[in-house]
Amino acid sequence: MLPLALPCAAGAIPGLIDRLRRRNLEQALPEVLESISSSIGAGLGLQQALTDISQKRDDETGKLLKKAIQRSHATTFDAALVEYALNSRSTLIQRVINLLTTAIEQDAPLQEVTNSMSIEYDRLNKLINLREKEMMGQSSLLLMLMCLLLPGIMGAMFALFGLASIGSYWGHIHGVMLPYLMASAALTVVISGRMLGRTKQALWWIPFWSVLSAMLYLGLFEGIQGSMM
Amino acid sequence: MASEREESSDLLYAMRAIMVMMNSGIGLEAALQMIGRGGYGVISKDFQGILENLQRGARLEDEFGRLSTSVKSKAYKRLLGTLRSNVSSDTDLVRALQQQADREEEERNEKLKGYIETVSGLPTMLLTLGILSPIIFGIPAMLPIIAPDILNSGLAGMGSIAQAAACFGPALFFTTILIGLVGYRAHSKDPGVI
Repeated sequence: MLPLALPCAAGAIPGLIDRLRRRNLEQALPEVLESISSSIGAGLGLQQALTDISQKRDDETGKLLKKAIQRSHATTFDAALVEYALNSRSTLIQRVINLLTTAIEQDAPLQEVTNSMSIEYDRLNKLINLREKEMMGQSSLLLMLMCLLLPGIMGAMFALFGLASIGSYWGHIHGVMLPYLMASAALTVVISGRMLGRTKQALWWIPFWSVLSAMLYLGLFEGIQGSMM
Repeated sequence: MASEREESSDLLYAMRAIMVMMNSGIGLEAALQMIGRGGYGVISKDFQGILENLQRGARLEDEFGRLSTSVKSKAYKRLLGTLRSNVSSDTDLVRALQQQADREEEERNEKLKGYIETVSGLPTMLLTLGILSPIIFGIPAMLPIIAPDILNSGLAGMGSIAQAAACFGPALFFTTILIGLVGYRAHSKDPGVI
């Protein structure tokens, strides 16, 4: 399992980085919309407002916007906006761009639209963060208890109750306990991932936590047995 | 047909989007087109269907009525009812949507709180189950190893303990299934709000 655990854990990292990047982009969205609203209020056009924001920001949003503005010189501004939305890989940003495109098509007052969107998306971001914050604690606790504490207790208990020095043979117990602990860890990873609404991403972590759980159990068992012999 | 959870997951976002558009003077049909373009899950598909039927000559009012009879979520039904009454009676849609979105947000927070309460006991429950089962079934399983003399002492009940020892593996297998079933609550109780 160990040769499988490491590549799988490495496979989970790109997903983790991408999610963090996406959330950063989404967190910056209300601020960007507010800046667009202010710039349009000051008499700038949407393209000028976005150019201005892309020059001021040096985060991921700024980089993506710069790329979109550069592309707009070769294609159309609408196409560049769509490309920005696609590159962000965020449903929230894609919705905002969709809304903005419709507002442009309908000749709607962009200052008002972007200002309302800024307020709404700020509220929606807070709601998303609330779920994330509340569930992250429970999810981490579940992983700690089932993947670390459970094998720890089991390893210590079996090692203390039956010392090899008095002739106990633990081969059979390990044969049953190891699959049990690994299966429990795998289920726990899926449950904790489901709590956060990220079941598919969590699947990558199954081999890592299963192996960690088994190693902890065996390590504690052998360590205690060794020290008491 | 979409489940209530699928309908609820993007409803608040769709409501807010329609509200922003209507508030800026954009018409209802343009707002429907925007939602129908995608990004709002089941709601996008439903609105896309409405727009297709409109092109075939159907009435918008009838389409909202038809859709509201087939949806499961109460909040979604309310939204369709509000849109329908706006088309038929020219009601103040922005204000109605604002109220509904606030209510939906409140309900969403309540649902989330309920879900957090449901899953808050899960870690300790699973740990208890995970520890107790190997202890309960592990002690008889350990007896033949730790104290083989007791089993051979002829004491009453020792035969059944020896039989119980053989059940250690299957007992842990069923415990794993039980952990999975208890953990399934994390999925079944999820209100579906993002």
